[in-house]
Amino acid sequence: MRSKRLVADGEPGPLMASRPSELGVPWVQSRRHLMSLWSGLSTGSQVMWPLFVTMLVIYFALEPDGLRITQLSLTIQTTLPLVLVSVAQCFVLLTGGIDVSVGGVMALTDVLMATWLRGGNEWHIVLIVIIGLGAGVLNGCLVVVAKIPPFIATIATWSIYDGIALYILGSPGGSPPASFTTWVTGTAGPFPMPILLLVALLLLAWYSRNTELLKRIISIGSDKERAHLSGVRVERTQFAAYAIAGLFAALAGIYLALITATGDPTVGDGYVLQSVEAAVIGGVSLAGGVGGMGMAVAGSFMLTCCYNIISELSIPSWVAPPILGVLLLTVIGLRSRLERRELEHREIR
Amino acid sequence: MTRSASESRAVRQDLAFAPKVERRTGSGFRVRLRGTVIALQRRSTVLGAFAFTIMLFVGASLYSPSGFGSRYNLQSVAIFAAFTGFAALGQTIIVIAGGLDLSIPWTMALGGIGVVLLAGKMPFVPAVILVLLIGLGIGTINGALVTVLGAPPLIVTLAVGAIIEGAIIAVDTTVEVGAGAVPATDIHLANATIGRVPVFFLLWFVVAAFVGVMLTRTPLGRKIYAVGANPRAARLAGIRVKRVQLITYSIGGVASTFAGILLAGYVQTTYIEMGQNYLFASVAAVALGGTALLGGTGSYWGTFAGAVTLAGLSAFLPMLGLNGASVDIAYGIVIIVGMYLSRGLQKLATMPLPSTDLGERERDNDE
Repeated sequence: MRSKRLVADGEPGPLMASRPSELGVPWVQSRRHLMSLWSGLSTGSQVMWPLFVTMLVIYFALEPDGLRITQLSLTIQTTLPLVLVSVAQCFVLLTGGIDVSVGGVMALTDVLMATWLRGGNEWHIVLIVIIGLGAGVLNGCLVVVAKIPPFIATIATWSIYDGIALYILGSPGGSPPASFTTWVTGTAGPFPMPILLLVALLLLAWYSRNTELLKRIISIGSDKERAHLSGVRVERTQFAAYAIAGLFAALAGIYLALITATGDPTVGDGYVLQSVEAAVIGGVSLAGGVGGMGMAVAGSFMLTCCYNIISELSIPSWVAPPILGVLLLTVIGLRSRLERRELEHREIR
Repeated sequence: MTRSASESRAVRQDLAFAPKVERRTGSGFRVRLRGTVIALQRRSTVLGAFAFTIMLFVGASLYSPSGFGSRYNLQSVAIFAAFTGFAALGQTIIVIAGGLDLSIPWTMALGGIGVVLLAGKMPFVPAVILVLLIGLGIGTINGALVTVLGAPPLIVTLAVGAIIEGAIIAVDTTVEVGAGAVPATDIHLANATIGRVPVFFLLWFVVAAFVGVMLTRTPLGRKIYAVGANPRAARLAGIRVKRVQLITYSIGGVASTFAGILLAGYVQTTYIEMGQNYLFASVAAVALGGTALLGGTGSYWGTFAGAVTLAGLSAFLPMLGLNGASVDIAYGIVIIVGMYLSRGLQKLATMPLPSTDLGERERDNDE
């Protein structure tokens, strides 16, 4: 009886370990195990993975050249700023907040990269990262200490950071050092740099899943009161989430400056809503408590895939926003249906 | 079962807001004074917002009487405040009911571009009515999607905005988007004045009065507050929560379409990004007016003050000799300061006052 229960719960019991696999995949013992692995995924992933794979298949079917390593690395390079900024957004969304100011932080770090690193001052890049972190800390202060709602607090700081960026560089121009730009866009051995950076980011995402901090962030996002009662320092964790968001937004700005080899004070504006959209399409919940870095990465590539498919089909570009809108609504709709079904299922049990 | 002292005090504090018969132990004057003080205290967020606005306007006019205080400047501030106000009208009601609407810029663009497109085919008034009906439809779609999907309104309305954007360009592919001529009636309407006051501002004032009465004195208004404060409790009290939420989004659709129509008349041109400035400005006006973004509290008069403040700020800051960059920075700082003050006032508004009832006070001391 007990071993049967274990099978139903999807955990390979001691008896099952020696049983040969039914489906030919070594780590999946049976169809039931496969089903339970599937239902073990969060509803966000259940919606995201089939959609992501479908989009990738469509894209590579339309554009087989996209699989060539140069083309692939170019696609990754153009998507990486969005990936970084939606990872930033993801940390704040996980706490149940929202960070509109990531656009401002991106603009600020972007113009700093273009103006600050001249003549032997290359080490200033460390300061730029710290400034991004500081911007995140300021957001955290406003939300945690002054208790201003995240949405309105970060609208205000977005305006401030954008203003500072505009003050530093009135119009697009300047350039980061050539050594940096060639390093970022070049290759390391046989591997193109963008692919290596993405792999590094994915490794970080995989590592972060089991860190104490991410678990705390998720716990305050799903229920602040309970997190507090189980000993999580809610305010400190919230603070950390905003600071990390500032850090990743700064990395996005730095990377954007390096791949465009110039600075632009308005560069962040387009990324604000896109970062939220990417995170949500990837499966991060806006209500907080569900998601992870990997989802934000996947979501960003889904957005890029969507745009690339549209451009491959050579349909007019105005089709892109409504298709994106429909995609968002589909993802949200499917997810809320799955969530409702899961809830009913639990209640019946 | 005996209640602990702290528990009974908590119950008493809850009752502080329940309508209770004042025991006439104090003099009539004191009782009346207390009533006035409570009335003022409950409205302290709105009063604070208005005080903030008035201070800004008096200060700015003293600083530059010929610039900020001039008739033309004040008129244009009034008109831009009215645009923000209409965009924030729906936003206020939606936020009070616990939602959020980020489709406003595209609904506004639809209002402006729709009127330009339709005015070539029919008289002005039917064109406006038709466009407002389309706006109503979009608001209703917003509401339907939010309530049916049960998804966060932020992303749903953003998606709807993206779809509207595509739809506008799809309909208007023949020419460069929004290149048609704005109808003369629209331009006249947006620029007309009665005496020295812009008609549009007066209209906004009247609408604000209506919305204020609607929110505080009608069953629908009370339901909106109830739904925003606690949807579950509202449902148990027999309110059709989803229907109320749907209505708030519908009102929002009409209001922002109307703002778009008049914005087209005022700037005398239309383009797809014409409403973009009002996306975050509408939320900022709502928040500065003391409406909590979590829903359940707030008022449209607060938003009125918030919208006037924002319009006044964007006119005044450049007059200080600040360039675009410093204006952005100052704008952000003012929003933060305003929000901080408004939070303090909210605390004041929900603080129970000491009672004038001597008997009760003695009993307090006993505990």
